[in-house]
Amino acid sequence: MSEKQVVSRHGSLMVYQDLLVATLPLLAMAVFLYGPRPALLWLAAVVTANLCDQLVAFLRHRPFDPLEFSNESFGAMLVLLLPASVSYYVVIVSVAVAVLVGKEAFGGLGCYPFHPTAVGYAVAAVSWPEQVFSFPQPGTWLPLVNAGSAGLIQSASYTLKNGGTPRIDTLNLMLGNYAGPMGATAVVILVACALLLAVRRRIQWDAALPFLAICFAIAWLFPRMGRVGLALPWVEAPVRLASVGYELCSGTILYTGIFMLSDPVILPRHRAARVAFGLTLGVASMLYRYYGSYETGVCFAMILVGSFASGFDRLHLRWLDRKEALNQ
Amino acid sequence: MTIEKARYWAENMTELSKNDRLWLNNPVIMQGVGLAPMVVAATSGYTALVLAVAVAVMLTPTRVGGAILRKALGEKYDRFAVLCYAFPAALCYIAAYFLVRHLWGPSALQQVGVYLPLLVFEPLIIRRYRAAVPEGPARALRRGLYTTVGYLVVLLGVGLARELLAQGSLMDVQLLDVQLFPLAAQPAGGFMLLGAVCAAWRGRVRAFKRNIYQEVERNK
Amino acid sequence: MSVILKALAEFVLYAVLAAFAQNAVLSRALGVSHLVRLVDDGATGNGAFCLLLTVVQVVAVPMCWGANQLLTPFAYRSAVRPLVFLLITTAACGLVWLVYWLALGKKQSDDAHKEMGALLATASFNSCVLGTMLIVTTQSLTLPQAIGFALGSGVGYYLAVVLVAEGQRRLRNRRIPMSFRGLPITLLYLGMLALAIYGFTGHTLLI
Repeated sequence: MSEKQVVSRHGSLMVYQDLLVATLPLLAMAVFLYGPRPALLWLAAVVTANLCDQLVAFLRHRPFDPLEFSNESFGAMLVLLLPASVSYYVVIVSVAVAVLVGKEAFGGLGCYPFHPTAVGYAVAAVSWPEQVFSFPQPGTWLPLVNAGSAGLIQSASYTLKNGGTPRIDTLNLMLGNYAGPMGATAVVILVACALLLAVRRRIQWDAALPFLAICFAIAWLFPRMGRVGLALPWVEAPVRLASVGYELCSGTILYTGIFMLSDPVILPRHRAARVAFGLTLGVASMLYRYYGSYETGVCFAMILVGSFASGFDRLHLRWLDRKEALNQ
Repeated sequence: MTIEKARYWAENMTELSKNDRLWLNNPVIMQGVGLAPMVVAATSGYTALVLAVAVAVMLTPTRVGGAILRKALGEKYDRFAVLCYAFPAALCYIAAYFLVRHLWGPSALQQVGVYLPLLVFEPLIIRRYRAAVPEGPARALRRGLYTTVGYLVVLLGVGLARELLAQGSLMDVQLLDVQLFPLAAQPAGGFMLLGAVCAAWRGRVRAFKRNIYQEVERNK
Repeated sequence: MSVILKALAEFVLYAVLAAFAQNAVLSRALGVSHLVRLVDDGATGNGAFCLLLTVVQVVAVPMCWGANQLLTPFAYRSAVRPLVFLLITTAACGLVWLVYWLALGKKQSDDAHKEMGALLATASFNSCVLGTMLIVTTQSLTLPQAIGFALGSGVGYYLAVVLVAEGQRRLRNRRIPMSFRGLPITLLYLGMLALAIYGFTGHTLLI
């Protein structure tokens, strides 16, 4: 079976092109907030991904397809998860690992068990946490070559993790005018990207909606801010609502639901299995956020839950068989 | 390679591959044994060297001891198979412990942690107990030495590579100011690096074998 | 009563810790050589192997905990620990075999006995079992913690087997480059799972 046949079993190849294009509005916002450095980082990621693609084509004696944008889309999605101050070296290494180890080693397009962007981010986060979890203040134009570590601050996720309450007003939260990953903070633009992908029928709603819904529910029922404790769900509603806002917007939850869960390769094949996958991923992501060592854990959760993706399909089929047997 | 040598290799490839414990049938790369100490404990040249000394002291004597015990037990061997190898391994470990302690002091033992005593049950040391065909002590000695060399080459190579990538040094001598790939110091990085080394090594072995057969075909 | 509850809480906590955050295979690579071969051999027997491993561990760990207390005054206890633990593992293995023989022995054929014996030997004299005993003693866990850790370690081993077996469909994909097929891709797969676990613990475990 060719690469294109494998991917077409999961979905169209055009999904990667659309994902790559959808990163551009977020990149534009990042350039507005931090200067041209994000654009250079994005370019470094895309070029690295492209070169890795060409290298693999050469090593595997296959023709290089310049119109296949999967690697470039993974690189673009990965760089937008990182701060604008991250070094070029970190971007290049994490994109190379994402593409070569996360995707090509497992057979290439349509065959990878884990989302390559999640793999690349996890490698970067574990290897260089001081760079990945320190963010520049929006509005400060960063030097093109060496951003340095001066003037870097912690994100709202870090504040939540340490029991604090972030103080970001709603407008800034919507526009991404606060310290965070360069592509994951501007909610308005994320929603616009989601609409673009929805119109192109790229968003896998049966996984994304349960994922976001369970994250919403956990953030509402068990907020990390305020002294809500185990109060009834409708008590302290403003605090709960603020908690939902920060949990979904300050990390990479929304970004994952829109971009990374649009890749049909990593998802189970049956609808019910995808719903279960989305719910499980949501629970795992929030557990990582609440109890894990890093302030954002959705990429780690994606690797863990992704290893069981085909298991969801099997369980679903077993349940169908049992239902059929009962009906007979 | 001369055509005669190529023909000899092509005709005896299976046997030669099986006996070559360094390159064509390396215990780590081809057989997947001895992974735990390599992935978790061998994070630098120094810890790899400590483990290497222990393996060198334990592997061959255990194999020879197991071969002798198997011969002595005869038909009763099946009941005590694993113990025939595990007991010599546990005794050899005592020697390895004192040697490591003498060479590098108690800090070396702390650095490798439980992965030194873990060698007693490590398949690299004791898996011969499962073999259906017994081997004599002389053959056990020869095979043990070859396997030891094969394992040590990979162990030291991986340890040095991990130290260079994670810390930019080799045997504590700082060579680089930057950390090329800090994940290499973690078990996750150890798994990935070893996987990559295995793939590259196996690819090279496949290419070597393919070239031999092509050379013979060309000169038929 | 509170002492019992506290012991129970410690047991459960350490069991959960050993199964997930300090997973024997993914965090410490214990028993990984066996796991790679086990998964290659197919799904049959995975559950039985892991069950035997867990039972032997749970039986052996209290004995090794007690033995460690007796060894404490001995200056070179670290040198003889593996030998002592080998004897304990042999005893635990024998005990499990005795229970099996009494419960099911007479109903099974000779071939089944032989197969069970081979499986029990592999499950008992396994670096996961020895590793668990060593960790429990070197990290000075209390008895309830040690037993919980042993149980969790066995469960964690089984979880790792399930995860890798689950990934086999992708790991046996014909489109994987030839050089990566088999052991290399399994190691990369384990590396990624280990990365996911590391993302939770965030630090290197004491070895």
